Amino acid sequence: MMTWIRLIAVTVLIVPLLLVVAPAYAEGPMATEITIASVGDPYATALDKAIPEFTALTGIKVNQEVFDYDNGRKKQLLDATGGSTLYDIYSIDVPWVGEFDDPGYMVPLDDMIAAEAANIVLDDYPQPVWDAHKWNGVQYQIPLATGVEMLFYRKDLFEQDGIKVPETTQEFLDACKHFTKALNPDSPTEYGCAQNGQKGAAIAQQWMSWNSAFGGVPIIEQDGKLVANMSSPEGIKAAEFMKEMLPTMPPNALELAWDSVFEEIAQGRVAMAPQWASRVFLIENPEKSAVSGKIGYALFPHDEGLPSRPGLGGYGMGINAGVSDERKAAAWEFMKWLANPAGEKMLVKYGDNAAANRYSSLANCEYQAFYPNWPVMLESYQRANYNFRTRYPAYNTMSDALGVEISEMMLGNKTAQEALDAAQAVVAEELARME
Amino acid sequence: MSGAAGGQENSTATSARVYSKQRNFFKWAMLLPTIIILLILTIYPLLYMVWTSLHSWNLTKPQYGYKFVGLHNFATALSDSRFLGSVLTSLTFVVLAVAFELALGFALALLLNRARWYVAPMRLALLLPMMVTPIVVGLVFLMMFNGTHGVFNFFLDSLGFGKIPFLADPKTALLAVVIADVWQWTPFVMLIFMAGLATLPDAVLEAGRTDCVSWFQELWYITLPLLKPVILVTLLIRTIDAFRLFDLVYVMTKGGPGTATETLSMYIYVQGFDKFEMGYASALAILMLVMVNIVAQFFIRTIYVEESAA
Repeated sequence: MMTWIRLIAVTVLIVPLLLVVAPAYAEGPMATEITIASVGDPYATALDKAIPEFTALTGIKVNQEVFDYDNGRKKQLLDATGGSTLYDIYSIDVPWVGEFDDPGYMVPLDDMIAAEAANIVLDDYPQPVWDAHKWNGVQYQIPLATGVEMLFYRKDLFEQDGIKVPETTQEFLDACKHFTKALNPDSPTEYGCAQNGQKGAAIAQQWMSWNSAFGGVPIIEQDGKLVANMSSPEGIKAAEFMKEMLPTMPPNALELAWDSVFEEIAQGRVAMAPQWASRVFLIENPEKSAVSGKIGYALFPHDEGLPSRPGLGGYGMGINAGVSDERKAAAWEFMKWLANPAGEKMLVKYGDNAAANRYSSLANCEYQAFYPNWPVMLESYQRANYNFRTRYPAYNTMSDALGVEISEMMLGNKTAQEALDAAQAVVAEELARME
Repeated sequence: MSGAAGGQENSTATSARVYSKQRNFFKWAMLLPTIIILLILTIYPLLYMVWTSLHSWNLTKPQYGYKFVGLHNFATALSDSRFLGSVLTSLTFVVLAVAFELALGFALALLLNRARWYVAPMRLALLLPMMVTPIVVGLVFLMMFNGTHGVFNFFLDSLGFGKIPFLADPKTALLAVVIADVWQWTPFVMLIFMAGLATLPDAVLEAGRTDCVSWFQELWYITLPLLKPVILVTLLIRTIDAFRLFDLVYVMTKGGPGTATETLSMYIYVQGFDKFEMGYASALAILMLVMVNIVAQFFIRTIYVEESAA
């Protein structure tokens, strides 16, 4: 009798507990809750606003966790390698593609995309934008928030002084010198330009941009092997070019990184800044910028005799290969809801100017009136170089090594050759480990 | 001895043994939770770190495997110029920060070592920096040292000296971190010295004043010698803390510009949490532990010798 009483008591107590703690993810063919890992760019804010619409439509709850750039990569990578499956959708920046796709952490999307071709409208993507998220010919991510580098310049001052908008690196350097008061007392600005100079990823990326402008490729394939190529003649030229620009930059040049670069141009201290197009809202907002309406946009400068091939980056959404099939299904449901012209229009409406991944968005006159740099973005996308930072899995090692060595070079502690040789040695060691 | 008396003695001895065993059991039962926590939180992680340091292991690259490499990580560290540079940076920081903190802390303690109405409110105000989280201190000084908008540059520019890119110039970046650390931890040094000054024997000081010694003579020949143990303890604590500095550097400079402010803790962080080279980072952490231990042993032995002599 007591045994029966105990059995009933246990059943009454334990079964409801099991029902409460059973994972919400495992309910039927599609999960009812997913989590996206995002990086703190404007697209994350736009997604926050868009997510309730998706939930109302499908009943699938979407959580978004937003990180800064460095932690975004680390958190997602640790989730993928550790198998903790905290996230269903990863936001992958273009240079991380190899690191995530090569070991198989992401779900191949080709079949799913083919089934949704009419919805996704592949022709609406500029080829470099789409291909940036492929690895070994397989599509692993769908473009979500594409970025491209361009030149921001004070068109009012260029017109006033009759200076040609720079197209080549030499023209850019000459313009920097013209607009630096210490070199030209008649300059209307204190300094010619601002760019990334902070030790670490910021200065490393700046070198990669100029390396690409001079025709350099940081990692190349030779005889079937990957070879570090940073101390090529183009790479050294790029590093020496950055050193030559230093006198035309503000005294805190080696503190500047991304948003703080825009602050220099927004406050009218510098005449130019080569930067990511997605940050245009920082200098066109009349409430925060002293130069709103005075900024012109041009293609990223290139070396004489070479075509302009602006650096392309930005985030794509991909599905974590480690989660259950039900969660993958729910994740794909969310991705395909966003990955069509209407979805992109919605993100733009919610303030994500970097959501212009498509021809239909970029050529839209209504958007162009609001985002004046989009015509240049459209031209940039078509000629963009999505490998300027390399997409091989050694990218982070290269970024770390360059982040220190280029900084040392800018401080005068090393020559360009010494700095790049040191960085190249570190990357070569990493590439040897990868074999 | 009669059988009954012998039986009573045996019974007493048995009771004493049982009681002793019960006491031992009770003692160990009370200590066991603490021992378990210590094992889990201190001993096990330390042993795991030593074990990891003997391996090559990248947390985000499982394809490279978990390979036993013996002392290879330690050998690499001793020939790693960046590691050696970070040790030098840490030592430079320790010497500068601790010297300033000791001098300022002692001066403030002397100033407040008197019965005046302003002492209590001043002491309270001076203790406030110690209560602020180091990360917050770092963020505040990051803004204050900003090359364009910082308050220090505002005053420098107003006085006609122009702006200084404190955190972008390798000549000033480490000094900026030192200033932030001195601002936060001088009150701690002041507190210890105030406690030390309060314990000085009045009779000795009175004797000195009776002999009409000057203020400086009293300080140099009486106060400082009597405070030697306190000075040594303060040096020990602040040296260990300063050597382990991480938060200020992480927030203010991230070890830059270049590697000008890359302390050993920062370099270990880079290896462990940027590059995820757990084996190498563990080896560096053990080397740091050894270095800190050597410094601590030096001070402890000196204090012990001082106390024995006294």
